[in-house]
Amino acid sequence: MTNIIKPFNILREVIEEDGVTGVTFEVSKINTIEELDVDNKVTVGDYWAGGSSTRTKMTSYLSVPADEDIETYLYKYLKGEGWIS
Amino acid sequence: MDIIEKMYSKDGEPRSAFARDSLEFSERVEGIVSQFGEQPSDTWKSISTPQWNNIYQDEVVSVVNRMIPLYLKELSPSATGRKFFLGSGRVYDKIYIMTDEATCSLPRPNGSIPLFIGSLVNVFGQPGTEDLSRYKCLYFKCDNHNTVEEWAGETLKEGLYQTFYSATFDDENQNNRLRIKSYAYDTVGPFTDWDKIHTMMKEMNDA
Repeated sequence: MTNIIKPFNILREVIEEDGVTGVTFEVSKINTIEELDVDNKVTVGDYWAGGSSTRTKMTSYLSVPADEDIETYLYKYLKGEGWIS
Repeated sequence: MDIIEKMYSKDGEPRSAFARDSLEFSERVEGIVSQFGEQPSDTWKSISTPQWNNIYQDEVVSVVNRMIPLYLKELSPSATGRKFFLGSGRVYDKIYIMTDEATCSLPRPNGSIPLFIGSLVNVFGQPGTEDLSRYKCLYFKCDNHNTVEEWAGETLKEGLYQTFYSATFDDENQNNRLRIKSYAYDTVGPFTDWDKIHTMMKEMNDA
């Protein structure tokens, strides 16, 4: 079976009215900071270990209509909001 | 042109990688975005020219990330990238995991030093559902170029400053070797010292 990595994490699901599913999820994104080191030096901190960045994590709640696949709906929402690319 | 890496494989034209501060980088990102939609290119270190790959029967553009996406952290990669399959429109992330003499079970030339093992990862929402993780790329160093050529059974391009190698195996078919690549560097640059990076990372992990 294919192991598919998900760029979000569903923490909890609850059933709301009319079959709507309420999903509590978390998602993270990287905010880059341009490198100061521009002379092509090899440094662990730059290329291999993570670069200059900050990371933002969001935990939120989304109501997913009854006829929608929960993960696909959440993915499209997060992509539209710029959390996944 | 700001080429920071040239990779050679006999099944395709040489592949060039461009650093993010170059005009070529921006132009090639535009091409990828026009075919595949918005991408996190501000987190990319480099982007390559397309290169034909006989395993996937497709032209593939390779990106190396500046930082590891959080959703890949659980796989403990040393580095990550993204592969764009231009013909089929598929997209896979690539992870590079540290290896060493004691743990690496993939075949390699005598006297070589295994450094990293790369494989493709399916990410939810990205086009391409086929599991390609059976194909493992072993990245290694070998001070004797002739030994690698003998083992590979083919002539390999060599760099003036440094040369590293990679072989792709099918780990669901007795590690059958499918492809050989050489990374030839004529001058020092951001991608040229895999072995030093490997040593530094091992020291960090052991600390």
